[in-house]
Amino acid sequence: MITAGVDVGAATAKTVIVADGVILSYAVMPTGDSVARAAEKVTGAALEQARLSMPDLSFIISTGYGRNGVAFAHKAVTEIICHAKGVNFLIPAARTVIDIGGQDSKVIGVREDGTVSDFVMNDKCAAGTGRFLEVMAGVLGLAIEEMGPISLTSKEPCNISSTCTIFAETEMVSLRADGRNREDIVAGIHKAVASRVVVMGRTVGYRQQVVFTGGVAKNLGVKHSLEVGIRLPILIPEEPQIVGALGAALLARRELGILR
Amino acid sequence: MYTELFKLCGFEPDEIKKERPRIDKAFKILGIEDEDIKRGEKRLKQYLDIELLGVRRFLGIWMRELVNLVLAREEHEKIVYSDFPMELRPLMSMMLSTDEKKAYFATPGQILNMTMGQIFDKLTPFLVAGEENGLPPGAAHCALYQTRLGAMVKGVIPFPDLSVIASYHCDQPAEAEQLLHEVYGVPVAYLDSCPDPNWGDWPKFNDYRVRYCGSQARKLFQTFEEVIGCKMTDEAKRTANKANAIFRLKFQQLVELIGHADPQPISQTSLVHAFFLNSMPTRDIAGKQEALEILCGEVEERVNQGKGVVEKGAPGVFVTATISVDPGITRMIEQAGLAIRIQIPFWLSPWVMARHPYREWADMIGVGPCLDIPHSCEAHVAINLENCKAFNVDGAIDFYPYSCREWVPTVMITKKTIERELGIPVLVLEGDCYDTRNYSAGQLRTRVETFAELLRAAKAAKAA
Repeated sequence: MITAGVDVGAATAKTVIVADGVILSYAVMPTGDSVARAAEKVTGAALEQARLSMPDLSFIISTGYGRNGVAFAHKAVTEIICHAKGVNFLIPAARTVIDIGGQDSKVIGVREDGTVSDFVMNDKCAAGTGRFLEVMAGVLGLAIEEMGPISLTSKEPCNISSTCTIFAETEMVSLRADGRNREDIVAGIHKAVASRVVVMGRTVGYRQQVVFTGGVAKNLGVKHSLEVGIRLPILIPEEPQIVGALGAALLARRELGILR
Repeated sequence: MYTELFKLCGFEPDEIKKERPRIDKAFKILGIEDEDIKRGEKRLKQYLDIELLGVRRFLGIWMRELVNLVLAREEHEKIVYSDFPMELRPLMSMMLSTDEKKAYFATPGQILNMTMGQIFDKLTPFLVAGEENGLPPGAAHCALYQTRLGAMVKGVIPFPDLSVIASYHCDQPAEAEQLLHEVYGVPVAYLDSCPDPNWGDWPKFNDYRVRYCGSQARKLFQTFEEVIGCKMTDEAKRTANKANAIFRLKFQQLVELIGHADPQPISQTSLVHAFFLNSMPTRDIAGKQEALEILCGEVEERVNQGKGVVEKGAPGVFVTATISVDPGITRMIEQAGLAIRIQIPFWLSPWVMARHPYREWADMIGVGPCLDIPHSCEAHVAINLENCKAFNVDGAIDFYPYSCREWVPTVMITKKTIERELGIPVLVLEGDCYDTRNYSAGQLRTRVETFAELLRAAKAAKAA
């Protein structure tokens, strides 16, 4: 029984193909301007890797903000449910998921069986999301991948008091003019993102094991700031970006079981 | 080009023919074009139980009021405006004290929301004009008041001869009307109060609040008589009181019928038009009562036939929102498989009604009980809790408007109280009842669908 999960997020599209509880292949690529096209391309890439074709897939679940635009999916499920399922598969002891993607951030409570016990999600504001980091990296002339390692060398992170992307950008320009060094500014940015998510997640609560997913989880500077904020260690799956798609593929298996 | 649209709004062909010159003129001023009409028809069919005659009749009342509003200056000697949260009974009493030719009464913000917003999805130009003319963006101004100001400064609706506004609910109406007075010279009369109860006062009112509000109402009537040149009559007060009581009681019965039915017989979006007539003065009192009677009969028939818009046995929720502009949010909740049992403030528990001390001041000024004047944050939370209990819901969704002074302070208290007292989850959604630019529907959908999944799982576990 081969199933697929297709997660079309704001920044990237991901597909994971699973057979009998084993990940066969996965692919990640930018979403671009068309959800439908991105879904087709990324799924095509994952199928090619696994040397399969579309008819080989017994059930496909789409997720992410573009979930309803994936015409070839049999069902759409929210990314909150998929992330909980995916994390539960990778790290069964996980009870809290912090997911920070391109345009939103979420804190999810996870039960032993991988279902959601509670969740909270940011409003439409970009603060505390990958987009915030992208804008700040742009202002500093850095590649997004450089931010994590740079921030970890900071000795005295700056205080970015504004959580608004626009105001924080102005604040950063001022800090730079004041002669603050780059690593302290970047560490300050990570602290600002983390503090917003940490406060938001308090209504759900942080219980060990805490797992960090989404594209921003690749940034070790944000991970560090989150750990300081929640005073708990955080685990990151090997490929944090595909957890939602993985969860969707696993839920597709369950769906198939129900259908049978 | 608009015949089909007006038919969907309950108009008979003869009326459309007769009203054509007025409609043409009003639509030209409003800038409603073919594509807007097509969009309007599509939205009515997409979001409402448009096959029900009662729903169409209510829509018709709002469409007639839209035309009346735009043409008010050339058809009437005087114009009086108000808007939510002004209490309807004093407004209706003033309206019925005047001759129809003499004075036109309206709540323009609500009319524009229900028609230009809900039907045509064309509210943004008014909001932008309001923002550019004294109620700027980013300052948490109420979009209801931005809309009415914007429509006035754009010349789409006339400036009034008197604006009657309540300042007991939040500071925004008073602030917006002060601007109208200072900048545009419109006389403004306030129904003031002193909303400063202590936590623990609920459900009692301090006597001074009642007395003060009563005295302010008398002052309001005096200003009205001076500016409009009409004498308030006891007959008008009695008629307003009676008509309001009859409508409200029937509406309450309808809300209870829907809330206790399984499956949910009609979409809650189809109730919004009737609900907002609880605060919009129309001279078509018989028309709105008839529409309600028809709708009640149709809903009863659906209940008896077991017909519904949500699957039978779906988890039931209480939703704290009456979204006039964007029916898509309410429909999104229902399409996620949740039965909306009740929306505040569609229904007030008998407990609240029986004890509401504003009856006292209302009796003093002779306009009848004012049940919908909020007491305090504490009352807001208590009423939410009562609603959840009365309809035995599985969860609650608090859709709160970003800029609403009255709503925002209670959001997290409401969530914690309901979760603690009843053990059911509460989803908080940030939004705006009057301005679709202030939220992202797609983002809300993710949360609503996840919440629905949680409630279904919890219900299944409970049943097992």
